[in-house]
Amino acid sequence: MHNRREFLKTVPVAAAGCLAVGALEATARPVIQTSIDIRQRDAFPAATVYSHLGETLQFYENLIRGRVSMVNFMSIADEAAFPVTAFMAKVADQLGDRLGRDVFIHSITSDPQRDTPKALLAFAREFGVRDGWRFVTSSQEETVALSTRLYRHPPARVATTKKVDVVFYGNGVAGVWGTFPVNIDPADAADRISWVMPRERAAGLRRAGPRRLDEGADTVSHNRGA
Amino acid sequence: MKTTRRDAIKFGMAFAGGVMASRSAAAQDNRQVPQSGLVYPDTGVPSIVSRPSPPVIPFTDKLYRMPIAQPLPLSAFDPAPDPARHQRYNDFPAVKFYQEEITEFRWRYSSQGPYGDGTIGGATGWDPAGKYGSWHWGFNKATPGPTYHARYGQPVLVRRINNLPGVEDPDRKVGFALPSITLHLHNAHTASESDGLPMDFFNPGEFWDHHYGNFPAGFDDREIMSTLWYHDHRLDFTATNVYAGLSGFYLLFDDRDTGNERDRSRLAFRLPSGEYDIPLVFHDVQFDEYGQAIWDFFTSHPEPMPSNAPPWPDTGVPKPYVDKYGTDADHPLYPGGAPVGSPSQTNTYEPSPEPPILPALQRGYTLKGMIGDRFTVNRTIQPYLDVEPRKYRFRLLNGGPSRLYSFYLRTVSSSIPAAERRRAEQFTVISSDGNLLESPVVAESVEIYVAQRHDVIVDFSMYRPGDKIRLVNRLEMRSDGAGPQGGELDEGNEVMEFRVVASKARDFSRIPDRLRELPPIKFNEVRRRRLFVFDYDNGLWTINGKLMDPNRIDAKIEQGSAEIWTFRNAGNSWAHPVHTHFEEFQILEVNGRSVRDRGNLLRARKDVVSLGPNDEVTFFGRWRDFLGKHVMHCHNVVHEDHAMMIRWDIVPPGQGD
Repeated sequence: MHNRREFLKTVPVAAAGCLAVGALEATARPVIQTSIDIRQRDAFPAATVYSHLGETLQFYENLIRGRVSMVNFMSIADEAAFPVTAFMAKVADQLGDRLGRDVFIHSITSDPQRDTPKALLAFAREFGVRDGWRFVTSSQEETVALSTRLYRHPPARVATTKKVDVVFYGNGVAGVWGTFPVNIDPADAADRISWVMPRERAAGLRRAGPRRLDEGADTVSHNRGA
Repeated sequence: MKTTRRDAIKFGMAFAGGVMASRSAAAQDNRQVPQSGLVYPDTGVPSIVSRPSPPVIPFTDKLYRMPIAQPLPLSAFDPAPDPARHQRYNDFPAVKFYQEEITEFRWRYSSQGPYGDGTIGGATGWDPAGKYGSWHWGFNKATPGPTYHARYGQPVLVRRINNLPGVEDPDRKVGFALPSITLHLHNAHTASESDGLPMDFFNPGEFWDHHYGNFPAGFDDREIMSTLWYHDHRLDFTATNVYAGLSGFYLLFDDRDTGNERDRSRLAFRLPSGEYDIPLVFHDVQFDEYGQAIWDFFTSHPEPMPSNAPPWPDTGVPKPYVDKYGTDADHPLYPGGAPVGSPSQTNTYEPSPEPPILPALQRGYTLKGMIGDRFTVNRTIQPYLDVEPRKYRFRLLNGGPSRLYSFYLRTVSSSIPAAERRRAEQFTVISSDGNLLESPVVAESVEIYVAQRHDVIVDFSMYRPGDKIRLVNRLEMRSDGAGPQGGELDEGNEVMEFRVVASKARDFSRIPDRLRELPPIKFNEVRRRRLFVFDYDNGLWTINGKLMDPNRIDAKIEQGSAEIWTFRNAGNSWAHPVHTHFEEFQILEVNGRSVRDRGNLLRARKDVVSLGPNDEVTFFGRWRDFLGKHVMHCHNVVHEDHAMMIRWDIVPPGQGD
């Protein structure tokens, strides 16, 4: 992963700059993308987001590019009916030290009208959010753009009756992206992110599986390391 | 093939306006190949229209014939295969050993530029020089991979070595797929650890040994299968990995379907064999202007983001807005948000009211499927095949990702009087999902959902050298890939061409009146029934309201038992080709009507259910011989990757649910 630490240093500067010129001015904001170019930016639309930490960020450039990320949609109002943030908090626990170093979580509110940065800050505190996990809000248009990119109904269509959801995960260096369902085993979720991360290649050829029948209990995989 | 399901989608003709729009679009289109599914009820333009693949003059390249997999001496394997890793290895000791190396290379889908070097009719397939062609994945430099010719009673072991570049390897060229793979042998009667399950993946620098016992389920010869295929099954990444090239055929022969049309044995079917037994896998692919296969999950959908400021529902929240955590009045998102309002008004977060239905937002879904605009057969764009005026066995396989086909034959140039062409343009269907039928069925078309197979005999003996016949797809697909549009295309997509040449030898093949007897359905063996409802929630595809969790066992089936399963499609506009692993089943009813009458193509052993809009399909299945986990899933692999799948386990008797 390139330039992660450098990126973190530059964020406050960018945020301050953006705020100083008045980010709402049309001239100061990037043009809202209403189409997706799959050749650029891992097909992410341009979107300015505002984090619970008070930062103004470009979603792709500052949060996705060059990093390994999990992205989910949430809203404070929906949490009682569909506790996705509680699930992500368990995933964050499973990630341990990797969170904020190797892996980042971006939780986008689908209710930007109500989930203001300060509301998100208080909400984040309820879940003991650590470095590497940001809650972000955006304009309605850009929220729609992001949610469309992330294989979703626009958030306005997401009723609280939903029973299922997915977390989007991928590698912004390699451009590989997948999804896993909310409410799988949090340890499994934390493991899946490693699927899109570089791994050490053994010097010789390694037998991945199947495992010997007498090795260990029956687990989810027949992989030797499972 | 006129199945009962066709009736179920006839209501789709209600969208006659849409169908007509499609035809007029095709009429204005001067490309030589008509495109299906070009119906845009809204402002969206799928990428196959806005950015179509570079054009190809069709039928200029020969059909790619996959090499036959060749075994290696056991001494070539280091480390040696280990029987302790396989259930019942000693019952079915491997007598042939194969090795595949999965790598990235360049593959010429056509000789024409930009797919090949531009010499029309020139080289296609793997480019050893690495100069031309789409970057691709494959087996021993072949995609589709080598075709296995396996035999019942001769177990094999296949070692698969992943030598793909790593995730962040700067040399990696296929960007959309995950270089961590698992190879499933689609519907083999195989132990769990050799099935190629979604979680049994291996990474670059690793290998996996798959043991195939090649014995019929329950040691019942009526369970013998014929046309199987192998493909990637990686959890979350199957669609992209198969699209990248990871598929191939695995054919099984026995002492009836011997693979020898001159066989003197009384038992032998003497079906067309050797040069005349040809597997054909169909993948629709989209390419960029450089001839590189692209996986377009986003712009391939006709439902765009709103083009202007999107409508936003009034959630009833008072504005300007204040929350209990303080004011955001100075925040750029909330200009002029003066801190007014009472705490009681703002302290609690009530669930948002259901917003009004807004057309622009309603269309904002994705996840339906992936449709390509180049029709490939054995990974060659619209190839031709020289055929002799005799019988051929074609093993038709829909390799996905999402397109469904209805194939017809069309004579385009012939000495046969028009009145007699109908007889020549017919398929003699001999198998369903690779399992030989009780007796052949003559049909003017065959419908093939993703992962389904039909072996058909086509008899070109009425034609003369110089005649040309084309294989045509007439199933109109929704351009978002979610299912059939409901209509049938007149012109359709011409997928490949058969060119009749002079006969080289006598045709010894036959079409027997009787093929493979069906195994009995014994209701007294049924331990329980299960219902699986295929639905849609929050933009995602669900089975019984859930998404796949590999740690959750959704059904515990007792070894040796039979069950009756019902698949119900709760949607009225999408289709799911639903596949369950391990052992084929027999359909009892479709939408309450029996399909057990003779001559019905659904009276067969199947491993994929064509679950059309509103369909309900009930089948009888058995689970024998091994223990362990397997899966059932939608084989529209875009649906599968977004977790439209369940895990089921075969458990010892007495431990079922």
